[in-house]
Amino acid sequence: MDSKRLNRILTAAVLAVIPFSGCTLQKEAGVDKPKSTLPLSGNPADEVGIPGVPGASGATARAIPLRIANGVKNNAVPTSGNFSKAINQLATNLPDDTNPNRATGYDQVPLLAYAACSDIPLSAYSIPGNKGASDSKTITAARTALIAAGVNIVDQHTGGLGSTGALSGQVAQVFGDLIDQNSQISGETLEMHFVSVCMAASTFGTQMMGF
Amino acid sequence: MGFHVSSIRGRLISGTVAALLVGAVGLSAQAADSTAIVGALRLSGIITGGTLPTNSTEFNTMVSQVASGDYLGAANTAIDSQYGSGYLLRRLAFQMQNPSLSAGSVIDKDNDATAFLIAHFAGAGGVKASTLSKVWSDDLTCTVNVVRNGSTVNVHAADLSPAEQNTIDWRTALTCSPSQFAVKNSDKTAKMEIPSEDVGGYTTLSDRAGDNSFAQVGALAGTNLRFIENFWMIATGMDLLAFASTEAPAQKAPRFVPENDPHFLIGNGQTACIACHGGGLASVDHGYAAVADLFDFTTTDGFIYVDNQSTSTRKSLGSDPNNRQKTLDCNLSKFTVCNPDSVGVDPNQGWDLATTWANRGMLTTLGWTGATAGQGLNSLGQALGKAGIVYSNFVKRVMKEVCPLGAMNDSDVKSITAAFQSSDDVKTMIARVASNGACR
Repeated sequence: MDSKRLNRILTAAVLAVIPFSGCTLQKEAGVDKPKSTLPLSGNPADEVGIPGVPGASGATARAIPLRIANGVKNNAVPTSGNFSKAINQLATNLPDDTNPNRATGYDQVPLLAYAACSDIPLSAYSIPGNKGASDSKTITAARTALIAAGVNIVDQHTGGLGSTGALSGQVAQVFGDLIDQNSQISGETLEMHFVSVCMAASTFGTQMMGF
Repeated sequence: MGFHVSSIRGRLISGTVAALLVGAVGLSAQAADSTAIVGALRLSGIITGGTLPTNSTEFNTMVSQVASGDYLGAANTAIDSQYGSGYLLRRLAFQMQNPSLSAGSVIDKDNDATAFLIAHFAGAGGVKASTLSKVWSDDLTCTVNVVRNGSTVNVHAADLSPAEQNTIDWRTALTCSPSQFAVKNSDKTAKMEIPSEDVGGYTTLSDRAGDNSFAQVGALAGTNLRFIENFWMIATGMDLLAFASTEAPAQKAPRFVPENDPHFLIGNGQTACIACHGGGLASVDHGYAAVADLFDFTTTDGFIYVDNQSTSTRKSLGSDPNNRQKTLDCNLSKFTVCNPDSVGVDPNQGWDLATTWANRGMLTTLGWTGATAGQGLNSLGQALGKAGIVYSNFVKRVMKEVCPLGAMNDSDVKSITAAFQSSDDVKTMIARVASNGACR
C-alpha cells in the first residue's frame, strides 16, 4: 500500500467510525460520571453492567486477524500479502482488552479488512470480469456475484444468518445499493467494487461484540 | 477518490447489515434457529474470540446445544475446541507473563512459559487434567510438534512461525517432559537442569533472551525483587501495597535496602520502606530468598541459573555487582546504602510466611491452606497453588475476559469459585462463567 492511499483509508476510517460511536461514547460518559444511572453490576470484575442484559465482549488483537480470515474463507491469510504487511504495521494498535468501554483500536479493523480484501482474487468469489475494468457493462454483469460475495462473507461471520434470516433479502439489498452507489463514481473499478463490499462485510463481522 | 468514498459507504453499510441481522433475530418465524445461532455466536465470540469457524463441526454442535438450552454444554464445546486453547487459554497464558496482565500484540511470539500454561489449562501435552494449582510448581518443560517439509519436528514455542502460531492445535501439538533448564552461570555456553526444589513452574521457564517470559520480566538485571513481587501479584491479583505492613523488623528487609534512609521506618508522606521490604512482598522471608541469588536474565544469554554463587553474583546484595561486597560488609563509615541489621537471604532458600503474615490476618486474606514455611521456590509454588485467593482471582480474570460488562450475581461467583477450587479444572470453570446468564 502506498502512503497516499493509506492516508486516504485512515481518513475514511476515522470519518466512518463517527456515526457508530454514539453508543460507546454514551457508555463511557456513564462510567465517568459518579452519579451514573446505571445500576451497580454486582460483578466484582467490573464496575458496570446491567442485570438481565448479557455482557458484551469485544474482539481483541489475537482474534481480529483470524476473524477476518475466517470471514473470507482464508482467501486472505494474516501471514502473507497486504494483510500481513498491515498487521505488522498496526499490530500494536489493536485492542488488548475485551471490555469495549476500555478497549481502543477498533478503528484499525477497517484498515486490516481493506488490506485482506485487497489480497483476494475476484475468482475466489466467481466474480466475472477484469479487475481493472470500470465500464458499466462489466459492473452490471458482476453485480449479482458481488452481492453474493458480500452475503457470503456475512454468512461466514454469522453462521448463515445473512442469507437465511427473515430479512436476508434486505441484507442482499444493502450490498446491491452499495454497488449501485459506487457505480456512480467515475473510475470505480471492478476490484474497488469488490473491496468495498468485502470491507463492509468483513468489518461488520469482525467487530461484532459478543455476538 | 472512488475508493475513498466507497470506504465510508462500506462502513455505513456494515452498520445497516448489523441492524438487519438483529431485526431478523427478533422475528418469531426465525426465532428458534436464529436465537440458537446467535447464542452459539456469542459463546464462540467470548470463548474463542470468534476464531471458531462457523462452518466447523464444533460450531454446529454448539448451535444444537444452545437450541436445546444446554449453554454449559455449548461453552464446554467451545473451550474444548482447538480455538478455545488457541485463543482464550493462550491469552490467559500471555497475560501471566507480566504484572499488567497484557496479552501483548498479535505478532508477539509464544514462549516456553506460555506453552507450559496452555498445557496445564487445557490438560494437554501429557498434563493429565486441566489444572491451575500446579502452574507454579510443576517441573516440566513443554514444547510443540509441528510438521515441516512433511516431517514432524519438535520445537520450542518461540520457534513457531507466524503461520504455525495461527494454525497450531495446541491440544495435540504440545508435549511436556520432566525437568526445566537454564543457562549455566559457570559456563554460559551450556545449559543445566534447574534443581527441582528451585523450579517455579511457568515462572522458571525461558529458553532464550527476548522471549517476554515471566522469567525475563522478573529476573532481567535488578535484584530479583521484581521476580517475587510479580510471582505474588499475578497469582493473587493483589497489588504491592495490599501486602505491605510496617509490622516487621528491619532484619527482614534485604541487605541492600538503606536503613539510614529517613523513610525506612516511618514513611513521612510515602510508604515506609520497611512496609514492603520487611512486611510485604519484598521481605527476605516471603519468597525473595527462594529466587534472589539463584536466577539472572541477560539480553545476551537469557535465563541463567547461578550455580557458582559468590558475593559478586548475589543479587540480594544489590543490582550493582561492584557494590555487593560493600553491601555485605555494610561498614557504615564507608558505605551507607545497606541494611546492617538484615539477616540477608537464607542460603537454603527458606521462606516463612507465618512470622509476619499470620498475626495480621494476611494468610486468612489469602485463603492460605498449604505450608507456611519451607525451602525453595518449588515448595512455595505448591503452597501458593492451594490458596483460595488464587482461585477467586482467576475466576475474576476470566470474568473480565468473557463478560466484562456482565452483571453476574455474587452467589454465582462464589459458587463457581468454590467448585473451581474443589475441581482445579480451569476449562470447566471458564465454561461455567461463560454460560452464566449474565455473560452469554
